[in-house]
Amino acid sequence: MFRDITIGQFYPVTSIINKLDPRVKLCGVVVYIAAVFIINNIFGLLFIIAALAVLIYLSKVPLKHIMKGLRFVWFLVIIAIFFNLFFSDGDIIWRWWIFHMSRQGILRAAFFAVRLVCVIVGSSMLTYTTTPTNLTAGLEKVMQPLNKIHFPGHEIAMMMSIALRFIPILSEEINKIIKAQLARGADFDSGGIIVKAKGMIPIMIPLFISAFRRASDLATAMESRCYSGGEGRTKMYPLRYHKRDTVGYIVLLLFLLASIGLRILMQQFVTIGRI
Amino acid sequence: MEIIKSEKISYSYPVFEDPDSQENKELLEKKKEAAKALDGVSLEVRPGQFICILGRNGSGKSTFAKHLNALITPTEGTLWIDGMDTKDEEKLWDIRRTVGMVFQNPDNQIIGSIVDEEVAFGLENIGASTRDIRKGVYKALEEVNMREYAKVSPNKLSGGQKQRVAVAGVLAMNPKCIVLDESTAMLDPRGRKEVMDTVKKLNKDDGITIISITHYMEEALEADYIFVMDNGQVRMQGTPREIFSREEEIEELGLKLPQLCQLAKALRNKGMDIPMGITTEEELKDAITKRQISENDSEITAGEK
Repeated sequence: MFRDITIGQFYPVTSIINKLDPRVKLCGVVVYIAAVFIINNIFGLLFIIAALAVLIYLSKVPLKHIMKGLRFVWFLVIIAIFFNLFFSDGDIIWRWWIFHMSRQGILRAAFFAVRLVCVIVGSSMLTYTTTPTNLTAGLEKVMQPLNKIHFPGHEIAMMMSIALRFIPILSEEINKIIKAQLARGADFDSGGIIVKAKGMIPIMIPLFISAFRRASDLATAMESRCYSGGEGRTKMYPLRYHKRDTVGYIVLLLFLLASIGLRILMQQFVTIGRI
Repeated sequence: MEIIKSEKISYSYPVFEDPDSQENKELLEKKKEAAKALDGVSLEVRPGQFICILGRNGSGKSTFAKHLNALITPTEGTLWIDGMDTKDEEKLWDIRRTVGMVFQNPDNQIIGSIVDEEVAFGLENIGASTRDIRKGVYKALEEVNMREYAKVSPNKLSGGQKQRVAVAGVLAMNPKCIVLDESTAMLDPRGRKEVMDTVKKLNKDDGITIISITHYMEEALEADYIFVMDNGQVRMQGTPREIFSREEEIEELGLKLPQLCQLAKALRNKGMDIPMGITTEEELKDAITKRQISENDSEITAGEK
């Protein structure tokens, strides 16, 4: 049950997006999210959808794979649409009991849904196209300037990469514990939600004990291999900018300017579809 | 010069003392006694030796192993690694580069999420240049025969392969000595053989001192020298031949004889003339066939008479 978490999983293809420096992609996510909230009219909306489509095309990640990652998000989107659609004030065009639909509400619901999906797809593109190692290396580098204010950038990156390495090991361990407890006559399937939650205790406690033991072992192993924090540490594959990364930054800048431009310029021409 | 020289080292695990309770003084003394993991261990290891340290659970062998890498330092006595005192904090990193450790659980000692990054971890920590790291990593992977797995996730490897990657991680640091702290205990027989073959090769070809801490007697048969520990002390030491001729003592210390020696002992108990301290199959075969030949001889001579 823990194996089908697709958010944060790398899709192995070679594409131009894949080869980009993780710092460019991290910056890209921030810029994209900013752009999604900057745009405020229908043209802007089309613009960010088009940009996302181009990105997906370039990344060679199949659309089906992306949709699979959205499974858990649809529920959220539907709730958001529902409330925006039926409870917004404005020019009322339909009314029944406590529900009412307004022109503004329809627009707002549509905007909201598209924005939400765009943000989620846009940011999961980062993890689809970047290996976890690359991603943590990028994060570490991005957070480096914060070292001056004693922000533990290296430690956070190290924790992330260790966590990523131990997810499959611990999930295997959970399966083992479940089987072991079932063999002892544990029952995980019957009873109400509280009984079921209580039933998780015999899984969680052994899991925690084992995780602590593993952590202690790992710390010893790291110490015995001369680990002493991020200071003075070098990398086998240090991050280096290439020409394509410069191009990437330029494209991002243009994209940001274009979405700001769309908001300002279209303000005068478009009155329909603005919120 | 000895690569490892320990002089009467003792180590006690810290005991929690409750300052308020006084009635339990006796209990506390007992606890302190129980926390004493090493009790005056003196031994010497010469470079290039293949050493085995045997002992039952709780005999202090793993505690001793942790001393070799300065993960813990003795509470009494002194331990020198390649002439460096392990209590000398300035030498800490040199000591850890000189002696590499491979631990028991293969999953709990792999840090990297790709094999080559895992092997690079130690070199990255000591701040080697990118070029040196890559050279060291690929050379080490070559030596443990894992070159083709450089880009694979460690999760996809078998236990024996994971331990070989761990050996490569240590090897990349160019150590003079590798300590295997029950590194084969969690492996299947095939994985165990892979790992042992690898370290034997390193010992033979590169002259790296190997200290294998184990309770697999079969591994001990092939060592140059054996230390047997019990109760925090070195109780026996010698070549495998010397150690395994003292059959009774071995069993007293809670250890089983290797299958080969068990067989030899059983045959001897049945009245066959088999010498003490047999360590290879060849020797046992010779001993048995020799006896048969002499029996045949005596039959022949008897017939002639």
